[in-house]
Amino acid sequence: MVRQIYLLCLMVWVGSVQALDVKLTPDREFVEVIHKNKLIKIQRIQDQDHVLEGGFAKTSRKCPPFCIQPMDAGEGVKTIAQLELFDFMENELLDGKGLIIDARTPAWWKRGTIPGSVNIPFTIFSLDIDDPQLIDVMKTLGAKRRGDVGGFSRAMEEMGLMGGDQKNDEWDFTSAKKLVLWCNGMWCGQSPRAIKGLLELGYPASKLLYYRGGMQVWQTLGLTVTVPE
Amino acid sequence: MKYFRLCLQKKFKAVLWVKILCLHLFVNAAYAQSSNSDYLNSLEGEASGLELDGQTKNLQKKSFAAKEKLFNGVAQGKKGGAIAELLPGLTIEQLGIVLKNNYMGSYLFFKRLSDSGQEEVYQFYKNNPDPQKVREKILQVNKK
Repeated sequence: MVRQIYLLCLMVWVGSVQALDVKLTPDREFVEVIHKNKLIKIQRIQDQDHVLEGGFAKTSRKCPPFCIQPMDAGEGVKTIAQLELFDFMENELLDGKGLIIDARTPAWWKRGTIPGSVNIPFTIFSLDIDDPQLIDVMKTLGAKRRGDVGGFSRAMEEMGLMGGDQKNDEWDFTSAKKLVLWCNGMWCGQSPRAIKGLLELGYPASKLLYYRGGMQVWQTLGLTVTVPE
Repeated sequence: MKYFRLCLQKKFKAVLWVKILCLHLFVNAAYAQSSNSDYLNSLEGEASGLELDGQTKNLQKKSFAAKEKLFNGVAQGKKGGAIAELLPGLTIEQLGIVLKNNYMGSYLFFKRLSDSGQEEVYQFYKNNPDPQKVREKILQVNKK
């Protein structure tokens, strides 16, 4: 009997040692994502005395251009935080129905990114509509370039029929992926610019999400960052 | 004569307006271009001096280390996860649930496979209901 109690105590102790003290939520210790064919565990720094250092501890940068961004990046575009991003990673991203876009220039991307993200710099979305780079990116996002559309069909689409809310003269967004766009945080205009560019191309606002906290908040919470090889 | 002079004046004014319009467009385009390149230059400047937090770097290494351990374990055929064998006769959906509950990493790769890839793994499982072999098969199909 005593032996069994010892065993039980030992099991409880081992369990408590293995569990993380700094979790994501009370019932979630980590999230796993596939990043460039590798599995990465996203969790928080466990040192409770740690204070953030480095570039993302900086409070002030010249404005303009590094000005505080509004909460909404565009009409109909939902702004999200970390927990919604974790859910997105475990659902849309995993099912191949969504993409997480690091909209920063490659120089930022190379210095560390949120696992599971792909780098599509905001500058791409302001390229000419016939630019091969833009066409390639739009294809990756699941948008299809349209050929000649009959006047009647287009008129029907403009009336909201035949899936018209997902199409315009140039693109068909019916199979387009749901996107989360992010950059350096509340002082960063790169992802809002990317969202503006996508909306101008006709990307449905309902398929766009803005992670406004970006890298700044990600690192403030001590979450895992991956440095592209 | 007076009519001719009036016409000339009007023509001159029109040419002048066109010139002003062109100049305005040119200045606007040049300004937009220079402000864009200024912005890009500022971005590059900020990024060039960026240092990652020390502990963030360590955590990144640990997350990779955990991953290495996971896949080395699979490669060496070590036992992992909560179950030692897969029950035969599962449906493809049930196989997914068992993987999710016991081998999250393998499940993530399994979910990412195409329908035909998942089917290939499922057919393999039917003949080899050994979790380690199924996990190795998932990685093998994933690499194709």
